[in-house]
Amino acid sequence: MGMQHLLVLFMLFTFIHNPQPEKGWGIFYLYVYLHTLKEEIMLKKSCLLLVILIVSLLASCSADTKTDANHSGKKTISIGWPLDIGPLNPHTYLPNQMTAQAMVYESLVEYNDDGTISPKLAEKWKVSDDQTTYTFYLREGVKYSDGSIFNADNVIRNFNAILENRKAHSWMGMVKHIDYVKKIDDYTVALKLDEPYYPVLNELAFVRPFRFLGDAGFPKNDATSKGIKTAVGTGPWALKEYKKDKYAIFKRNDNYWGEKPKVDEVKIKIIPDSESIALAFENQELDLIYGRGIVSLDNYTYLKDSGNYETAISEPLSTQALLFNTQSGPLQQLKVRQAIHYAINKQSLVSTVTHGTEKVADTLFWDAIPYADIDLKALKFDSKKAKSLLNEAGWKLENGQTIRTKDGQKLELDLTYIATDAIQKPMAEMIQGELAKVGIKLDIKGTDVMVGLHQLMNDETDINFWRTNGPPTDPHNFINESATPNASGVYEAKRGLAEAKDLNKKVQQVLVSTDEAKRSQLYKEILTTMHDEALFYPISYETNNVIYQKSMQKFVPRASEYDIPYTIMDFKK
Amino acid sequence: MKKTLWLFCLKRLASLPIILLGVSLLTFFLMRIVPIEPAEVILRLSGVTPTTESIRSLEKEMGLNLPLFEQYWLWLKDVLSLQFGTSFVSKLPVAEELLSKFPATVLLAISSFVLALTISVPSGIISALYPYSLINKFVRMLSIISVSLPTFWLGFMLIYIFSIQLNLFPTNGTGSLAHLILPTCTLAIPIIGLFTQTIQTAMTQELTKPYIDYAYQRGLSKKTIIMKHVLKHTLTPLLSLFGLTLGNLMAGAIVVEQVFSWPGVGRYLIESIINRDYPVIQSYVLIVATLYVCINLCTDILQRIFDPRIKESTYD
Repeated sequence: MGMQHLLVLFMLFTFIHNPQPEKGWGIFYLYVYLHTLKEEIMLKKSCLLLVILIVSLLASCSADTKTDANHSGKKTISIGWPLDIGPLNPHTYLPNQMTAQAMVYESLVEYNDDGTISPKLAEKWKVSDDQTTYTFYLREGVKYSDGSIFNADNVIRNFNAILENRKAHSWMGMVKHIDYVKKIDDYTVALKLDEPYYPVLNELAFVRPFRFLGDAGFPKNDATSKGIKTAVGTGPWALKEYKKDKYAIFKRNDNYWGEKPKVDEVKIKIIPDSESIALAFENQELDLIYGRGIVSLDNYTYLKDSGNYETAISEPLSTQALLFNTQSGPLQQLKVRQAIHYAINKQSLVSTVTHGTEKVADTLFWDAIPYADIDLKALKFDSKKAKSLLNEAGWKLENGQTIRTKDGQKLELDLTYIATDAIQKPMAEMIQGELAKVGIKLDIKGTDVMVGLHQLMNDETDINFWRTNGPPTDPHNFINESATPNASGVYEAKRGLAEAKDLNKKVQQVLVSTDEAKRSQLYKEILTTMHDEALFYPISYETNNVIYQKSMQKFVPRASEYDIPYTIMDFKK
Repeated sequence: MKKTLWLFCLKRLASLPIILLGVSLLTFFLMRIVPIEPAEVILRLSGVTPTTESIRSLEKEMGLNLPLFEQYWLWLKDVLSLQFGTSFVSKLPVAEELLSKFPATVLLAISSFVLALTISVPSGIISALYPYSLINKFVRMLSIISVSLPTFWLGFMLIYIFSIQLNLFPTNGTGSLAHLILPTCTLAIPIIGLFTQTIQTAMTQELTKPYIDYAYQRGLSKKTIIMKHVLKHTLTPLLSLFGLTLGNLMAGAIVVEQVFSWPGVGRYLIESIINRDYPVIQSYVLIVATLYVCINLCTDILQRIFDPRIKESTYD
């Protein structure tokens, strides 16, 4: 009897939590089941009924698993994301997810995929002749999602709150140079720098921290670095419902000044495992998968090849490369570094591991990155040339040996990769095989995220996987870091180059130069030197990979790590 | 007998603070051996290249610039006030974060534990009672298979079959009974295998003991012998195994929570380890240690109640 009571309670509990008409059948069967027991009908019969009960229960449970597009008249896009969206604080970093911050908050200017800057909350801007004062003319009539007005006072309040926490944002070169921000009139503000710093607009376009929180969101003393009261922004979306670690629903901001989103809501479901995201999509619980590395390339290809879904690939956003440590060991020799370039069949490496989703990279930056469209000679696969370069460098293959030696020392190199990275590991293995063919022994080691970089900085490993940051902070942030110790590892890796000091000097000049032609020239020199010295082995250009259900209209993904173009997405009629 | 039981409980509870102090010291200082600093990890995971300034300012904010013993002392004070410190990442009290995640884990733990028991006890008994039958072979084979299945593979297979092919359950998430079923089964299946095997072995041994023959000769029915005598003697020593399994489940099922997007403590722990969120990891270990001590105590008490032959003396 106790068991039956439990069953009744259990049923009631599930019914209350998820009241659906189908559940009525479960209750009905339960009633029949209990009734038959009471009547002391044969045990076998009640077992049968129990089975029916369970099956009907399961059937009624499964009703709500599909995406709720067009359900109850509302158009909702469901997307899977591996991490919780965080507190939606525009001025802080982790655990805030950039893709969610970008939905709610906007910047003064916008960075486009072709490397240009266009107006956003600032309609236009003026740069003073000495390039230290930027005057922004704000867009009038912009309202926050709570109906409050966006104006100069609000901009100043946000800037002050951000600069209160200057050290936390010191990775952004501009922050060190900001002297003050001043209101000129209700819709005009001036940003004053202590010396010229050309990438101001690129950095203002970035997703954080220079985005604007409405007055209602400011906490006591405007200390946004400690937390915000509520997420109020000028962006096309406003947070409607949030269940931490489960999901977040954003609804269209009806006060939005720009082109309004076509769907009513976006639901971000938090699914930490990439396989699970792919399965949820396959089960039509998600409308789309969007981004780099959200699902493995194997899964991406599997879903694409099924022919049941639409796919799209963005323009490149960042570059996957190997970084050579020139501080010590065989990699001090340019010819060894070049030999590695020639020894690897990059085309087959990239197409095998990424299933053709990524393009082969011959240079560190792809052409649409500002200042990176320069003529650089690609070092194409040529194993004969690799062998002859190694011979010239003094690394000889003795008879009967498989590894080259020089003065009794074997040509042995370490390559560190992130153990959990689905792309780096197979790439490391293939590179190991390619290098073995020319007599280089490559030891590959899988480590935790940060370990490889630290080993490279401390001169404890020879080669490490390395990625560029992508726009809008490339290439200025890249070269800045390349001249900064303990930053991205490039500073340490290039120490063995004869030009290392010269490069550092040029980096300082680029960032403060006021003459555009001179700046282009300096960039050209820096990037050419790095290329000619074969400091990096560029592998592939990474892209945002998108898969969506056929119920959705076609759209073009953006080459941005944080801007997902939900506003242009829609379902087919 | 009752008095000695109370005494036993008191003794064990008195040793709890010492155990916990040891655990807290160990986790605190072991965490600090990990070479990479949390401030740097948090910055890099934010997509920000750390500068010396930003690392120092973050370390100051997180209290990592203080001497180690002071850091330990401050955290210990937080633990005693039941706040368990502040998370480096979310900046919320760890107690609040963990409390919000425990219900999901407990629900999953209990449902899979109950499922495992309801299946493994009868199947263990049946296969012990009929040692040379087909049922016995079948049960043994199934339990060996279920113990050796990797959890993540099992989880994905269940999703593939029951969600994608048969469309019976959602692939992940929480919210209804349907969401609970697949993760529960994934967790329970290996435990069923383990329990069935153990119960069967224990019972087979028990059945060879002389008192069984004696009982038959006294004219007791088979049903009475099995249900009243054998079962009790078989299951009592296994209580500690059950207890440990329950503790294990309560500590969070890392793989299952990851695969099914179950918002429990296991998933939170993994995220915290990746983020080097020291206060969370330390507090988690401390809470789980307490849980284990309590569950162990409970099983010991139960064993003493069911089997008075176990004497206090073994612990003196």
